[in-house]
Amino acid sequence: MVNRFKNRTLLWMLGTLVLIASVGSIPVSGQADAPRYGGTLAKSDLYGDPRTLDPVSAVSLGTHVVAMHIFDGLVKLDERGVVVPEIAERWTISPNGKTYTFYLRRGVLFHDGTEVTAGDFKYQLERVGNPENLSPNMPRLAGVVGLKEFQEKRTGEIIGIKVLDKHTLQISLERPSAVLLNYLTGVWASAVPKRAVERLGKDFAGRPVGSGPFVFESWVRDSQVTLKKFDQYWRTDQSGNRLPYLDKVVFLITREMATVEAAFESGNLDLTIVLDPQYRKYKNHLLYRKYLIEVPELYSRHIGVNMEMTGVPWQDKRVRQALNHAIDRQAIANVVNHGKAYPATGFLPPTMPGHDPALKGYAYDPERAKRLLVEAGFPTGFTVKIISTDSTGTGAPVVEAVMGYLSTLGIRLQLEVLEFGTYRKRQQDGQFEWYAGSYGGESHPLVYLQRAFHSRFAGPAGNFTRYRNQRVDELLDRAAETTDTNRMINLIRQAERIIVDEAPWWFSTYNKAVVVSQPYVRGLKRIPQEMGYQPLEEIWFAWPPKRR
Amino acid sequence: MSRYAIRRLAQAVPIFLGITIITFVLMALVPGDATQVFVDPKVGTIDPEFMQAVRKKWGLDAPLHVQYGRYLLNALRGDLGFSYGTNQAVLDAVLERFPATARLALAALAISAIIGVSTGIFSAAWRGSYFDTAGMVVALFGISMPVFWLGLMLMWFVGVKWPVLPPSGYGQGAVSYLVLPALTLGLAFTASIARVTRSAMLDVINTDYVRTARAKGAHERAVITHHALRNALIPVVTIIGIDFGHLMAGSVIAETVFSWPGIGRLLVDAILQRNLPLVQGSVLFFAVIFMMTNLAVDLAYGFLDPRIRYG
Amino acid sequence: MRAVRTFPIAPAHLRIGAASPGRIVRRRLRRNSSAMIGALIVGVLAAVAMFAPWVSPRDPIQNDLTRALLPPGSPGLLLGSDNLGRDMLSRIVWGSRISLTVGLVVQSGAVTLGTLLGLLAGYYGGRTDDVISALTNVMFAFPRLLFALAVMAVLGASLFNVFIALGIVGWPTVCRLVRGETLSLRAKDFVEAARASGAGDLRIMARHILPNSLGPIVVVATLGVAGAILAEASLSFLGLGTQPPTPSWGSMLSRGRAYIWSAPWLTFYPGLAIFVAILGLNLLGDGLRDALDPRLRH
Repeated sequence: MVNRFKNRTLLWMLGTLVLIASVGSIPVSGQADAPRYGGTLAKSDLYGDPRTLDPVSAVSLGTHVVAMHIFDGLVKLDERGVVVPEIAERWTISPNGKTYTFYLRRGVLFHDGTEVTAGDFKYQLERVGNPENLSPNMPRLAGVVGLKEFQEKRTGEIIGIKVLDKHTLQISLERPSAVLLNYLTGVWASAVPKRAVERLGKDFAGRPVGSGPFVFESWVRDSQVTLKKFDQYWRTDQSGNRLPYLDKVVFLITREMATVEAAFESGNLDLTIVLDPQYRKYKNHLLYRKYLIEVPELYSRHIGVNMEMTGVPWQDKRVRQALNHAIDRQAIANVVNHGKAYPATGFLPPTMPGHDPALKGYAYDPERAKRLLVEAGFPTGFTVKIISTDSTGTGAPVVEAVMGYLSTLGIRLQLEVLEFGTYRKRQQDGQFEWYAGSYGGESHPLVYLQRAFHSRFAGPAGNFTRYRNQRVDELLDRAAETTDTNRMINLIRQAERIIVDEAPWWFSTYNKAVVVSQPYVRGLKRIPQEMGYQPLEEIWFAWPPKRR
Repeated sequence: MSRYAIRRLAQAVPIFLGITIITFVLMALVPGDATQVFVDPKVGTIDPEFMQAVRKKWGLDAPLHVQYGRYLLNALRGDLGFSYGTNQAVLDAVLERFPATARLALAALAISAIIGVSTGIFSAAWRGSYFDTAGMVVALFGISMPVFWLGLMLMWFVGVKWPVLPPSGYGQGAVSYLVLPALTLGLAFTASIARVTRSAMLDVINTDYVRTARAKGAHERAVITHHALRNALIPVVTIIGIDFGHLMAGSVIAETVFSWPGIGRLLVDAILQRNLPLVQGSVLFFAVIFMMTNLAVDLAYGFLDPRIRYG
Repeated sequence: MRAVRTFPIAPAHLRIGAASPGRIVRRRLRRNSSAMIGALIVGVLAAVAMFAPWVSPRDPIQNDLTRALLPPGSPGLLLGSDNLGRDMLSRIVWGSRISLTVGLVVQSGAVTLGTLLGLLAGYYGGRTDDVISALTNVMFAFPRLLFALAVMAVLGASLFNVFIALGIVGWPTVCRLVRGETLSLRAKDFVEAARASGAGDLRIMARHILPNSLGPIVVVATLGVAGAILAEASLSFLGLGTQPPTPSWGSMLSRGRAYIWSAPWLTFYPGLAIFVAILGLNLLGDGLRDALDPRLRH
């Protein structure tokens, strides 16, 4: 009798223990579990069809988010924006800053089984440099010794790119560069197998072969791209497990957020970017709010003024500064962007290396704005035409909201909403008074500044406002030629201060990049450059997804 | 009959020519460069020297008539050019996307033909009944409903709220993905066909021709199927021919709403990206389909109505 | 456009019976209850459009960022507010103006141009007919929505350009119809008689052929207004229609698409409005067509 009682109690205790243990092991986001292998990840990025998967032509985000997993380069960027080794396990820079020597890992294989050598990098870089291939990435090779002679066909190769031996590559520049390493992290500089390109010709763009963690399987244009795991990928995680964990990745191609939402909530999508209109919903969602990842992205939204127009009120710096004081960025971020934006302080976003936390920018001060306008001689304001696209985050809705603030100063905005192609053309040609838009796509602070404000880029190349300031140019040029990171940051911060003071833009907000995932997805990172660039080889499923 | 077909084909040639000219001129007038394909809306910038090199390579600096002439010569050899930015042969790009649209259109047609014709027949047979009134009301609703509205509502209720079917996408061609888009597209068509079938049946049922057949003692069902139906199908076939344009337009919207990778969407994207060779190729393709449909419709007339013969 | 049976109404001096065709038509119309419903809907629509400033409770383009995305039934917002805090009901009321204007202007243009070309083609035949018919055939072979899209891309997206684009796309249907009518009427006795009595071409076209084609033209025009409203909404849906802040139903739908799951009232109500308008016009157009059909037995 006593034994039976004891047994039952024991059983109860055991049962309770088991219950506690199982409850405790229900995965919670952020808990460090051991990675599991297997599963097919369905992902969507809303950037549309990749159009090409050949690194030579890689320029759009749609291409990059897929191609980055098929190809590996010499180096890559980690989530802090620092250049770290990829296929090159280390590198040296000569004292004069003009020669880079990369030492490659051994045993890295292409998807067709052959080994990756220095020659494969030289091959790809020469493909990009070759004008016949019409690569939009060609300007990134500017400054490499021998490039011009190669392009003019006086030599059959770029002399400045030397294969010292099978696993050593050397690149020589005409002058030191602060940005070469950053440029080399791009997909365009990946290792590409010559045999495959020659065998497939034009088809290579639709059936790529690389050395990245995933192998190309299929592509139904405008519908989906499927990649499968590369069994012989060289990378392992910290415990020595071979990456990737996932078996397959499927990219769902669409530009419709409604489609993506529907697919995500019905369980057919594991991971997606969240846009402004959906942000509040997911932020307050009972289940998904624990699985949101947010980071300030490297995108500066703004209104730019045409600095080349003469006789207009905004030629006076005070008017532009008034513009910056007159609008409540926080309110715009809260309402127009539904909370999915960070008000701008200076120009560089907070997650950009070199961001100056001491730079405060313009506070919301309508009184001050009024005073500045009166000082400049426009007490009753003026009328101005502004162009924008229809985009919810950066286009017409922002302008419509801004109209309210500016009308209290007497500044009347006449909005012209354009379709993107026409809008971009008007910006490139300088056919506008003001425009509303966004800017980004560069991960190096120097390049980020240059493209927007250096006089060399004035016009279609990126400096649409055609802002010209000699001192800024000088500072940026000096920064470009130093390999001392601290010195470079110092110089660009000085340039940034001048730019913010001169205010050729209304510095609006930085995008808050948000990604939402299903509860079983692990390994996601905060990547300020572009949240769509999640390294999928590090992602795994805590339990298998249930598809409908 | 075949002489007729050949004559029709011959008449089609100047029409194709006209189409290519109009498309060409239209695309030439659209502001914005063909080099837009290299500009990503989020990233955004492009180097002017690169733009120049591209324009040179694609021959965009030549005067318009030279560009058009070159295009025509190539087209006659079967070379429809390469899509800007993807370098895929236009013919390949179009043919790759065609099956998706074809499946959608045929599914929609099938649904609408079956439901529409039977609704029309029964409404006519039970004229004045509740079925008739209800059917015609629903039919009227169907014609008036905007495709995108219907699509979005179907997607929400059937795809997300009560997940019966996949809400969107192509899904490697599985039938379940086809249902919602085909229903959306087919509804307006169903309505049209039902109404026309009904009125055509009503007309025919009361004609002397049919009364005579009835008087001769033919079974009611035989009367309907053999005599009335055959003649009633003529206006239905007419509808298919005339409303085909609507079907194509509707497919563009349905493809956009459901992310269906068809030709309609291809053409919209191509126009917005100023992808001239792709626009030309797709438009030509549409025109060919249109012509063939017209021809098929006319030949069907000949089959359905023995009184019409072509020489 | 759907197939329209065309039947000429005999001119006044050949008519037997007391009532004029106009009165017959109107009587038939009134007996047709669904047509009356359609007329009612269209009437209400027209009234709302005309009296929009008085019917609309608030200013349709006034932002109120503090009251954005409120659901229908919120205080003072019967149909909710949009993403910038604007009252949906007011926007829909004002939107009726835009949509009706689009429909009427586009159809007037298309009907005028199409009738003109159709008359010329049908009456003169020969070369004129060949050229006009060839042009009509080419236009028909184009997918119409996409042609309009391309024209909008050329001209730039705005309300005025929508008129042009849809007008260009709309005239072939009318032209083909009128041409057919003209061809069949041209051979009739009363036309021969008129010509014999020395009437000029223009007079014949204007006083004999045109009035007798009016019936089918009116039907096609009515249905065409519906088509134009739908087309404007479709163009806006694809991104190249009217642009904000113009409160057209189409641009409201297009803007609200991003909020479809979180704030469905942004798309539901404009879509409903379009649906009702088209429904009314279809009912009316059908009623007109039945009323004009002398073969219909009661």
